[in-house]
Amino acid sequence: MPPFQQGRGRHEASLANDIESRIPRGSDMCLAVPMQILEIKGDGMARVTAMGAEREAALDLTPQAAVGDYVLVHAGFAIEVVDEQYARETLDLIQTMADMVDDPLFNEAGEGVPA
Amino acid sequence: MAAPQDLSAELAKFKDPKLARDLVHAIRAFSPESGATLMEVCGTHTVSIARAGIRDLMPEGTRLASGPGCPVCVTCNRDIDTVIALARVPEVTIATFGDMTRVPGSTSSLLAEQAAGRSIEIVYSPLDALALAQANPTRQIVFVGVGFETTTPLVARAVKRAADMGLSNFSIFAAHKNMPGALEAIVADPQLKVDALILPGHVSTIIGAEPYRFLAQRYGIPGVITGFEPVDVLQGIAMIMRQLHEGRAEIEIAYARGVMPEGNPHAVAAIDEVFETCTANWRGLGDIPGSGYRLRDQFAQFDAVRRFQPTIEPTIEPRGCRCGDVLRGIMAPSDCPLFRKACTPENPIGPCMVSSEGSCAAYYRYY
Repeated sequence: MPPFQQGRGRHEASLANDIESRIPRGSDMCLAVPMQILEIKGDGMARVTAMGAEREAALDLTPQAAVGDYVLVHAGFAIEVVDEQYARETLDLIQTMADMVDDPLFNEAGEGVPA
Repeated sequence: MAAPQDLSAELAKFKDPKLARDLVHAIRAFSPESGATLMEVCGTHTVSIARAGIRDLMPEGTRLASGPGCPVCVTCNRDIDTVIALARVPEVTIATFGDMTRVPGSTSSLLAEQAAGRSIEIVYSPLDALALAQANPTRQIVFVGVGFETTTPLVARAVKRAADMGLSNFSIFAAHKNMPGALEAIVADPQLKVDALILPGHVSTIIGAEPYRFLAQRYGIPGVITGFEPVDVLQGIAMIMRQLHEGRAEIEIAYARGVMPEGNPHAVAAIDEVFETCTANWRGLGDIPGSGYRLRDQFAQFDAVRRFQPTIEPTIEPRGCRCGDVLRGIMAPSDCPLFRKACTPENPIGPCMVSSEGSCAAYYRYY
């Protein structure tokens, strides 16, 4: 029997763990890391980067992705293009919510009545 | 287009402690006086909440319960035994995400099988399993397909690529599940008193908001699709509290940078091309119609069970393990008599202690 050709799995998995340990959040099954596309190759694969690490991601599910875009990468595939405008709008919304605590009707004990 | 550095700066704000503190105040202000039970149904949320200590920041009377969101944990013993049986087929190499290897089946685990000389490879992507098949034409590579809608389209694409390449030594064990079916079982159970749902971020990246609407409309349960940074989670909870405060039940999105209301149509189409829904058996929840995925007839040759017809041992449930109750949010991991005593991450009895996304493992590490 020919010797078994080891996959890149172990290396890739440890790289993924490495990235995830620097991006503070959970484990692997539904985790997707925002990574930026550096290059799109002919075979539908892209070179992507986050926190100084580089990886390959398949663009099967995000054919609209372009170089420079941030994509959510899960288990070797880009599953969505991160929407820049929505990222900003969400921050604005969060700020609005956070600012409500400065409203005099609120207090730290949470007994205030929202206006 | 704005410079790319701008977006990374924006993304960093989702970890900002000041913003987080202010949101905690907003949560306190909105939370109902009578208290509320919020269930998170994604294992990655379970870990985020535990790691950031969010449970301790909640106002009195607010309970954060963990639901059936850890894919490894909800995989029933019969399915784990089936994978072990496949591993015992001489020509088979199992390719799997790492979490699955340590889950105990009735009498064994993939790790124990590996120690006994079976061929088990840990992969990061289903595409790595395809590459293994190409590099090892004399071996039969079986990819273990567990996970929710986040992972299902990736496995669908791997199967489609294998079909296009005419690859005859690649197949999958198909045990994918979808989230809305399980959520209906949870909210319809009179034993469970869930007031609102912290809905999964990356499952929703794929399916969008629509498949959850019935939860609000039929059951009156508010749900907010939530991201994974501490500020994301707090924002999700704040939006839920606001709905409870205003007496609304709607499905809202707090994670708009990663979730479009309509989801990712390319990913949904990828699932539909290869899979059809079927009844699935969930640990703790039992059989739920329409909550699983099986290969369509035209891709049936990629079904490992059909290809190898392995002999599966009789199922034995782990004695005293309360994973089923933990997965339904009835019991906190620390209330299980085995927790931290007979059952630890080094010597796990049930899957919730094995997977890094399992509630028991998260409680063990962070509480």
